[in-house]
Amino acid sequence: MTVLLKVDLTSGKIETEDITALQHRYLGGLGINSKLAADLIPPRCSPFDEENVLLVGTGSLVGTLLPTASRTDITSKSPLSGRYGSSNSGGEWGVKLRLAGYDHLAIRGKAKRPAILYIDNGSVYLEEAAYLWGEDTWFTVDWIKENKGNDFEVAAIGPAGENLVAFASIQNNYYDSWGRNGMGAVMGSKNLKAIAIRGSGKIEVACAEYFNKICREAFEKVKNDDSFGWTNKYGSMIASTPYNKIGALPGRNFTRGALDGWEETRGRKIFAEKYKEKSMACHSCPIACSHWSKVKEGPFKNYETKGLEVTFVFEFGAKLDIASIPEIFKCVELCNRMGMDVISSASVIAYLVECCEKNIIKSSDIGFTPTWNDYKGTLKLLHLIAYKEGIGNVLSGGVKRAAGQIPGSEYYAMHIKGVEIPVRDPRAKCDIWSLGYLTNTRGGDHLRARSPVEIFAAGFIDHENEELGLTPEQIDELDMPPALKEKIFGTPPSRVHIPQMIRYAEDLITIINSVGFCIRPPVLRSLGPDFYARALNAVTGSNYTADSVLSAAGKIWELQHHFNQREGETISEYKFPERFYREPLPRLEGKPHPPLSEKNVQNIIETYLKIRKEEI
Amino acid sequence: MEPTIIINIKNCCGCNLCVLFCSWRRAKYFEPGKAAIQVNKDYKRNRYQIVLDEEKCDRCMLCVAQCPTGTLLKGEK
Ligand code: SF4
Ligand code: SF4
Ligand code: SF4
Repeated sequence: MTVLLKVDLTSGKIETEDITALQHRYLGGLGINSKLAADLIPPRCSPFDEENVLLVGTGSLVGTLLPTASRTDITSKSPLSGRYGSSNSGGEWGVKLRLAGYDHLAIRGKAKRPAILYIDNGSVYLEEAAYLWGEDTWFTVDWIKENKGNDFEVAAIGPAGENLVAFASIQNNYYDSWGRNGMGAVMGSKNLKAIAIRGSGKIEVACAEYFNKICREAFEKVKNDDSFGWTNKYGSMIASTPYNKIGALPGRNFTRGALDGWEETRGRKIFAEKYKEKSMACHSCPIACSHWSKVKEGPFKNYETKGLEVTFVFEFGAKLDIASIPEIFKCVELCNRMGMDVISSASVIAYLVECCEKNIIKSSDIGFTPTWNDYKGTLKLLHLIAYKEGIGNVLSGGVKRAAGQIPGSEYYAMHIKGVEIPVRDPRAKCDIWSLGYLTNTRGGDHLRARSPVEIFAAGFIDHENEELGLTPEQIDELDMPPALKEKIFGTPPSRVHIPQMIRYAEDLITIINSVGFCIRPPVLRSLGPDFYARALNAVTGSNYTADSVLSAAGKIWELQHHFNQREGETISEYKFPERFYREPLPRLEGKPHPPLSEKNVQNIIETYLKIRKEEI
Repeated sequence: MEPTIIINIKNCCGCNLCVLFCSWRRAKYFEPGKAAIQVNKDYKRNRYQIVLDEEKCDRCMLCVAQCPTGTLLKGEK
C-alpha cells in the first residue's frame, strides 16, 4: 500500500490517504509528486501562498536492500523560478519515513507560530518551535536528537529558509540537502522549521522469491559496471581533473574553462591523497561514492567533514576560484548551516564579483570589494544573503531577479529559466548533458538528463549526432527497448541521436527518481526500464513492463511540462545565457572553445520538443 | 571451532547492508530494528558502532559476505 500523509498547518488537521492507485500509474517518488503537484497546487499561486503544497515522495523501492534505494524527492512550486520545483536527497531520512508507515507527505497551509512536524511511527503531531527559529540547521538537528531521541532523522531549514531566500535548501541531517529550487523557502513560508522522523516498522515485499532474484541481478550489474571502482574511489571528484584539462570549468562566472594551478589545488588526486579519510555511503548503497575528509595541516588543521563533492569544487572552487580545499569545505559548511543551495549561492556571488569588476556595481554601494579567490568576502556575502542584509537582499532572489534590479547586469546573470546553471560550461561540449540544462523542467540544472552511455571524449558527427563509441555487443546488452535503440543509435548502430537521447535520458532519470535509486554512473549505466519494471513488480506487486515504465515517465514529464506552461513558460526560455552564444571560452592549452551556434541549439530543442509531443 | 564475526569498524561506510541482509534473511521483509546486527551512527562526527546481538545471531555469515568494505570478517573462536 502507498500511503499519503496530509498535513494542514493552518488548521492542524492531519489525515492519511491510500494512494496505491497512483503508484500503479506514476511509479512513486518524483512521479507521484508530479501528479500531486498538478492536482493540488493551484495555478498562478505564489510559492509562498498557503495554498502552495510541499510534497515529499520517497521512492517506491526505498528501504529495501536494493542497491542505492535510499532517495526522496521534494516537490513544490519553486520560489526561485516560480515554476515546477523539485529536489532530491539520499541518506536515511526517506527510509525512516517509510518505516514509520508513510510514503508521501503533502503539507499545505501555514502554522501560526514556528513549528516542527514530528512523525514518530504512528504518532504524528506538530509542536511549537519558536525557540529554534533563527537557529542554524546543525543546532536544530542537534536539539531534536538530544531532546527527542538520537534515532530521529531530521529535515530542517536554517535562517535562509526562514528569511525566504529564493534558493534556500532543506538540509537532510548535517551534510546532505534538498538543495535546488528553493524548497527550504517554501518550508519557511509555512513556518515549518523541521520534519523529524522516527521509524521502526517494516517494509514489505510483494514477492520474496522474485525479489531475491532481482536483488542478485542488481548487485551484480552495479558492482560489475566499469565505473564502480572509480566512483567508489573518487566519487563525483573524478570529474575535477578532466574538466580543467578540457577547459569545461565554469571558472570565474563562466569566463574561463580552465584555471591556473587547478590540478595542484583542486584536482582529484590531491583530494584523494591529502584529504580523503574514508568512503561513506547512503542507506543500502554498495558504491559508497561519498567521502569523509580531514584537513591535516594549516589554519583548518583537524577539521573534519563529509565531502568533497565535485559540485562544491566547481561552484566555490571554479566559479569563485577559491583555490583551497579547506576553504571550500568551510563555505559549504556555511551553506549547510544557513540552509542554502551551494550552486545558486556560489552563482549569485560570482555574478556580483563580475558586476563589480565591470563597474556595474560599485564597491561603495556594498561597503567592500568582493573579488575572485576571496574566502573571507565569500563568507561575508553568504551571511548577508542568508539574512537578506544589504546587497545580500538583492542577491537572495537569485541572479535573474538581481539582474532585473541592477541595470546592465543581465549579461552576467548565468541562469536558465531563473535557475542558476551549475558545474560545466556547455561551450566545452554541447552534448546531452549540456542541452539537458535547457530541457530540464526544473530549470538550469544538470541532474535530469544524463546519457547512460555517455562518453565525454566522443566527438560529434554533426550538431545533432554524437559518435557512438560503443560496440554492437554493448548496445545489445543495454537495458533499453529495441525500438528505442533503433531510434537513438540507428540500424546498424552508428551514432547517438542527441534529441532522442535527451528524451530517453530524462525518462530514465525520472524512473530512477521515482523508484528512489541514485543516478551515479554504476546505476545509471547498468540498470534500465526492464529492470525497474521487474523490481517494482517484485516489491509493490504492480504490473509494469519496460514499455509501461517508460510511458509513465513520459506522462510524468508531461505533468511537469504542463505545470510550467500553465505558469506561462514559452519556448523562448529554452535558451542559454547570451555569453555562451557570443564569447569563446578560453582554456589553458589549445584553442578556445568557440561560442555555441544559437541556430543549432534551437534546432535540437525543436526536434526534442517534437519528439516529446509525438509521444503524447 | 565456532565462527565469530570480527569487526573492523574503521572501514565501515555506514551503508546498513549488513542490517538489511540480516533482516531480510530472517523475515522476508525489512525491519532493520529487529536485525541481529545494528549500526549506530553519530552522523555529525561520522563515528559508527556495530552492535551484534549474540543471542539473535546464528552466525550465518550473510552480513560478512555482503559487507562491501571488509568491516565484517569471519573469525573463529
Ligand atoms: S552512490 Fe553515492 S550518492 Fe548514490 S546512493 Fe551511493 S553513496 Fe549515496
Ligand atoms: S551472521 Fe548474524 S548478524 Fe550476520 S546476517 Fe547472520 S544472523 Fe545476522
Ligand atoms: S555492511 Fe559493512 S560497511 Fe556497511 S554498515 Fe555494515 S559493517 Fe558497515
